[in-house]
Amino acid sequence: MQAEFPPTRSPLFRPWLWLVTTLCVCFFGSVGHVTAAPQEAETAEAAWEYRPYNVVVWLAHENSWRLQGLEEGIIEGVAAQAMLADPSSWKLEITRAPNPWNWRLISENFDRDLYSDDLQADVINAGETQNADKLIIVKITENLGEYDTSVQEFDLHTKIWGAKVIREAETANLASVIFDSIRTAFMPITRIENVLDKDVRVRVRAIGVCEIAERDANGEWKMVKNTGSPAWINDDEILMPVVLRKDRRGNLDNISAVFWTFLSIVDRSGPNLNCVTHAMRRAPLGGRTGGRTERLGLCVRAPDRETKLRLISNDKQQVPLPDLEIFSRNPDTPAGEDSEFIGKTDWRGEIVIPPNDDPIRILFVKSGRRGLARVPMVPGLYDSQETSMPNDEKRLYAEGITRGLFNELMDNVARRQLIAERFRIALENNNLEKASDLVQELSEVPDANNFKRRLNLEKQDLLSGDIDKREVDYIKGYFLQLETATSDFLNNVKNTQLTRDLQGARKK
Amino acid sequence: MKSIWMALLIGFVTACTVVAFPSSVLAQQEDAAQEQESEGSQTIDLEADAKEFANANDVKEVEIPVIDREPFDRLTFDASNDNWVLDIDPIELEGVSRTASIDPKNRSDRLLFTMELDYPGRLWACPWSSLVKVERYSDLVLGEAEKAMVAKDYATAFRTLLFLSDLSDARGAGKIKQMMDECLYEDGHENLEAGNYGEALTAFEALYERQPRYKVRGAGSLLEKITTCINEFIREKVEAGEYAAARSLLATLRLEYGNKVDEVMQFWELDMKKRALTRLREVGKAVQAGDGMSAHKNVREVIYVMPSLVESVKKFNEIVKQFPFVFVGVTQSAISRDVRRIEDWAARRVGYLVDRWIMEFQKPTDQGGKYIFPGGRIQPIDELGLKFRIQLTQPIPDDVPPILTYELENRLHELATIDSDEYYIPWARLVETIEIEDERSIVFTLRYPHVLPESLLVMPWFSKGDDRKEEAFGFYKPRSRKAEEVIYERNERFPKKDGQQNPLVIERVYGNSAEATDALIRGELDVVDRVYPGDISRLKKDPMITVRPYLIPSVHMLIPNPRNDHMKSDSFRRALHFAINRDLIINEIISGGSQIEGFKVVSGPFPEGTDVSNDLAYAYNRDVIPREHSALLALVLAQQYVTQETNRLENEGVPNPEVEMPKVVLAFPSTETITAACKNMAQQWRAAGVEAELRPLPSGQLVPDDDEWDLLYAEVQMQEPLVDAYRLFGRNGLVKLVDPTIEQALRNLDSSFKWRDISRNLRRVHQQSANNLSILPLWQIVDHYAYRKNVFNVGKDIVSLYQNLDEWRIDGVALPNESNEVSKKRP
Repeated sequence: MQAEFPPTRSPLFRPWLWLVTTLCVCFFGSVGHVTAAPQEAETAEAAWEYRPYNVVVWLAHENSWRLQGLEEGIIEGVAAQAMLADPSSWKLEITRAPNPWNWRLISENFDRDLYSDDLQADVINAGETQNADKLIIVKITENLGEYDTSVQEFDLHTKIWGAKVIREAETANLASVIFDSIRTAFMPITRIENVLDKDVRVRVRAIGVCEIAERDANGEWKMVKNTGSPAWINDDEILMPVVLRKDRRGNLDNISAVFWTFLSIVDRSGPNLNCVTHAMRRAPLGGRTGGRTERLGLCVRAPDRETKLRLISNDKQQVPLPDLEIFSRNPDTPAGEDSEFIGKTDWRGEIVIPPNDDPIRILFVKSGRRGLARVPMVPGLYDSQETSMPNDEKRLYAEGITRGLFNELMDNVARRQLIAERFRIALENNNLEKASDLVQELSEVPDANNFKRRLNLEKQDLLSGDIDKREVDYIKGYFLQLETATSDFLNNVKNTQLTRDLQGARKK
Repeated sequence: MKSIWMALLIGFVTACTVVAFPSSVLAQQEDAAQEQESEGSQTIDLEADAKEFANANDVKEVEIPVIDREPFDRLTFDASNDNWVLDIDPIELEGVSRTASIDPKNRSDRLLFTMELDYPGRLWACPWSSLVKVERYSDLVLGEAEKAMVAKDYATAFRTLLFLSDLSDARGAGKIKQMMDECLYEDGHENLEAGNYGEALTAFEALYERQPRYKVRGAGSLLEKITTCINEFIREKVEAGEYAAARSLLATLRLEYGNKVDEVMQFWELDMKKRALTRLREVGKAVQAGDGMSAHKNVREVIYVMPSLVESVKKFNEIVKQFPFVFVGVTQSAISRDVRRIEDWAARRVGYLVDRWIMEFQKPTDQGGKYIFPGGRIQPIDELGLKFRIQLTQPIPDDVPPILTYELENRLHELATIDSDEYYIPWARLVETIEIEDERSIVFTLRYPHVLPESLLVMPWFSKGDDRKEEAFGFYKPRSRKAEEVIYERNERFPKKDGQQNPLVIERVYGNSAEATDALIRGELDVVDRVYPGDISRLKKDPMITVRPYLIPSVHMLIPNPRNDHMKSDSFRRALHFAINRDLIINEIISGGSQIEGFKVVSGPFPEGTDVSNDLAYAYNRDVIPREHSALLALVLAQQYVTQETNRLENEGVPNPEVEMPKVVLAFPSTETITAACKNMAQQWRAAGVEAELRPLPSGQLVPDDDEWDLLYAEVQMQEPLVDAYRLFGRNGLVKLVDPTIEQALRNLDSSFKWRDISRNLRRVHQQSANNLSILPLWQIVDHYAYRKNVFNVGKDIVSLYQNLDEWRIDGVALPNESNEVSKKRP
C-alpha cells in the first residue's frame, strides 16, 4: 500500500506568508521602531525555532571500483532515508566529497590535524559549505567485501567537531548504516536563553518544524512532534555549551566550547528545555553576556566507546598526575550510595573511562583523602581528553606523616591511661615500689608538651620550601587537628599528679 | 591451690576413715582439768562430724600413696573396738624417735595424740591397752613398697624405697637398700623378658652402679644381664638402620665397662663390618651397571654404618670420581623458576640454576647491585647518562640464549609496550627510545637519568608466548622430576671447560629442615639449601660440615588483605602488631635461643642488613623504631576498634548494635620456621582477645588463590630494594592495598638521579608503610646454607645457592686414620 504523505509543513510555514510578514515588518518598521522591534524579535525567535538545518554530507572513499559502483545507490539511499526521517527540520545534501577534499579526508593526517585551526578554516571557507550549518563527513573503507564507515559532524557555526561514529557494514545495508551513523553524529543546536545558578533554559532550533502527521484515535490527521528526527532532542540527551563572541562589527571574534560542562534535561516546555548544569568549575556559564555573546548548546551523542582521560598538574610544569583514584557517579545517584571505583591513573596520568548506561558520568578525582576535582564526562565523545588540576604532592606526603603521628598519639594516650590505671591499683594495694616504677614508666611516654614540640618540628619541615597556598591550608589543618587532640587527650594523665599521689601515699 | 585440694582430700579421707568405724574410743580432751580416766573404751561420736563433712563436700574416697601424704602413724585397735584403724599425727614420745617401733603391750596408761588436719587444736587420748598395733610412718612406707614389689610395680616400689631411704632417721637402712637392689633387678629382669631392652638396661646399669657384684642364684651375673641388654638393644638399632645410635652405644659400652665387654664389642664391629661389606658388593654391582644413583645411595649408607671402614671410604671416593653427584636437600620444591619473585625462595634458587637473564645480578656493592649482561656488554655512551648501548658479542657466547639483535630489541620494546603481556611499568616509564644501531648493537635512550637502569632488565630473554621460553638456557637443565626429587644436569649447549667437574645435582625435598639436617650429618646429603636456624650451632660443631650465611637477609612480614572493615582499620592492625612479641619469637622460637648475627626485629619492609651486607641497608629507615610488644595496649586497641564500629553503626541509625571482636585468618607457607612463628602469633593474638584461624598453604604455594584470608605471612628477599620495592608495593605487587602516600614515594624514586635521593625516597617508603601499616613488619633473618667439606667452590657471600654451580666440585674424603685434612682445594 502506498503511503500517503500528509502535509508535513506547519501551516505557518508558507513561503508567501513569510514574504508578507517580511514586507509588513519592513513597512511598519519604517513607521516606528517601537512597533517594529517586538516583531523583529518575534521573527528572530520564530526563525530560530523554525529554521531548519542545512546539512552538507560528503562521501569520501578510495574510489575502488566496488565503491564507485555503490556510490550512487548510497547517495540516493541516504537522501531518501533522510527525507523519510524528517523532511522539514533538516535539508540534507549528500555528494561525493569534492576534490581535493576526498583524498584529504581519507588521509591519515586528517585525523591528526582534526582540531587544527587551519583545517577548520579550510572547511569553513570551502565553497560547498558556505550556506550550510553542518558538514558531515562520511568515510568508507573497503575491507574484503565489507566496509568500515566513519561519520563525523563539523558544526560550521560553532566550529566544533562531534563524536566520530564508527560502524561496519555490508553491501546490502551500507546506506542504512551510513544514515544511522549520520543520525547519531548529527548534533542539534539549542540556544541558551537563561542561566540561573545551575538551572539553564534553552530553546531548540528547528523544533517548530520537527513535526509529522499522525492519525489519532478518531482517524483524524494531526501534527505531532517527530521524536524520531535527528533534530529532536530526547530527554536523556546531553548538551555541551559553546560560547560565541562577536566583535563590534558583528564578526565572530572567539568561540569557546565550555569544556567539562554539560547540560542535562530536566523537563521541557514548548520549544524550551529546562536543564541543569554539570560542571567542573563554578559558574561556567556565568559572566557578562550581551548582544555580542551568543551561548549555544550542542546536543552531543557519544557512541558507545571509551575515552582516555589524561590528568596533568595546573602549574607551570604541567606534569602528569599518576596514581590518582577515579570514582564515578550518575548525576541522579542518591547521596548515600557509594560511587563506582574505576581505577587509578597510570604513570602517564592516564586512565580509560568506559561508557555505561548513563549518558553522562560524573568523575571524582581523589588524591589520598582529598578530593581534587569533579569532572563531568561523556565517554566516547572524544577519543582522549586532558584536564588539569592541582599538584597535590606536598599535601599527600603530609597526609601520610600526620596519619602516623595520629596513630602514635593514640598509642601514647592509651599507654598513659594504662599506666595511670595500674598506678591506681598499685596504690590501692599499697605497692609503693610498683607505683614508683610506674611513675618512671610514665615519664618515658611523651606527654602533651613533648608531643607538641615534635608536631611543631614536623610541621615546620613539611611547610618548608615552595608550596601551594591551598596545600599549606590543608597541612595546617591537619596539624591543628593533631594539636587539639593532643591537648584534649594527652593531658588527661599528668606526670605531676601521679608523683603527688605517690608522695601522699608514702606519707601515709 | 593444689595444696589446698590435697589438704581437703586428706581431710576428707581422714574424715571418711572416722565415719567407717562404728564406735570410737577417742576421747577428746578439752583441757587437762577435765581429763577423765577410763579403763575401758570411751567413745566420742565423730560420725556426725565426718558425715557432715562427707555430705557437705561430696568427695569420693581415693587411695593416696603413703609417701604422698603428710607423715602419720597408724593405730590399730583391738576387737572390742572393732579393730578400728586410725591415722594420727606422728606420735611424740619422750626418748622415742619418729621411726622407732612402738609395742603398745609394753606401754601403760594412755596415748595422747593429735589429728591436726581434721581436728586442729584438739588433743585425743586412748588407752594403750586398747591398741593392738602401732605402725610408724616408716613402717607404712616400707609396707607399701613391699606391696608394690609383690604387685611387680617396681617403679612405685623403687620410688617408695627411695623416699624411705631419704628419711633421715629411717630404720632398717640395710633392708631398704637390699629391697631397692632387688627392685632394680626384678624390674630389669621383667623388662628383659618383655623385650624392653632400653628399660632393662637402665635398671641393670643403675643396679651395677650400686652393686656391681649383685647376683641372683642361677641367673648369671649382672654384667651378663647388662651385656645381653646392650646386645639386643644394639641389634634393634642396627636392624632399624640407626647405626649412629648403635655406634654411640658401643662407644659408651667401651667407656663404662672397658675390656669386660670385649666380646660384645667385637661381635658387633664384625657384624657391622659384614653388613658394610655386603652393601659394598651391592655398590659394586650398581657401579658395574652404571647406576650412579644406587651406587651413591649404598656407599653413603655403608659409610654411615661404618665410617672407619677403609674399604667403604675408598669405594666412596671411587664412586664420586666416576659419578660426581651432589645431593642437595631443600624444603621447598620450585613451582616456577623466576629470580624476580621476591617472595619465592625456591623459584629464585631454580631460576638462577636453569635460566639466564638479560641482566644478571652478581652481588651488592655500595652503589646498588653489580649486574652483567651475559650476551656482551652494556655501557653508557653519553655524559648525561641518558643513552646506553647494548652490544652483543659475535658470535653469541655459548652460555647465552641464541638471540638475534633485532629480537632483543623487540623484547626491550615489548617490556615498554602498554598492551603487551610483558609490560613492565618501571621500564616503560624510564625508556624513551630503543633503536638498533647496527647488527650487533642496540641503543636505548632514557627520559631521565637513572642510577641503575640495568637493574630493571633482570628479565627473561624470551616472552611468554615464545616457545623458547620454556627451554632451559641456564648452565643446568632438569633431567628428571619426581615428587620428592628433581635431577639437574649440565646443559649440553655449554661445552665443558677444563677443570670443571659440573656434577649432577639431585635436589631432594624434605618435609622439614630437621630431617634435611640429619640427612646431611648422616652423609646422605652433601648440601642443604636452607638450614633451620635452631640447627645452625649444631651443624657448626660438626667438623665435616661448613655452615655459611647467605649475603642477603630475608625480611618477614604480614600483608593485610583489606577484604573486611577490620583489616582496613588502623587501630585493629596496630592491635595485632602490638600483640606480637617479636623479640621472643625471633630469639626463642626461630633461633632456638641462639644468638645469630643478623636476626633482628625490623620496622619496615626492607632489610636492615648485617655487618657484611650493609650495602643493602640503603633503603632502611633507622628513624622508624620497631613497635614494642605490649599485650595490654593490643587489648585496648582491639577493643577501641569494636567501640568505634559500635559508634559508627549507632550513628547510622542501627539500634543497639552488637559488634563482636573480629576473627582473623592467617595464611602462611607451611615451612617449619614459619609454622612455629604463626602458631605463636595466634596465641598472642588470642591473649589480646582476637581469635585467629591458621591457614597453612599447600607445599610450594606462597599466596592463596582465593580471598579467604586476612593476613598473609610473607618472607621476602630483596637483592635490590630500588627495584624490588615495586615488586612489593607496585601495581602488580604483593601488597594489595597500597596507600597513596607509598605510591607517591615510589614515584619519587623515578625522578631520583642520585643514590642519595634513591635512599631518601626508599626510606620514605619505609616510613609511610609504618605510618599506614600497609604491611606489619616482623623480623629479618639471615638464612644459612651448609655443605660437607668434600664439596668445593660452593662459595662465600652468595646470594643464591647455585650462584657458582659452574665451579662446584665434589671430591672424595680422607681415609680413616689418615690425616683429617681433606685435599687442599679452594673452598
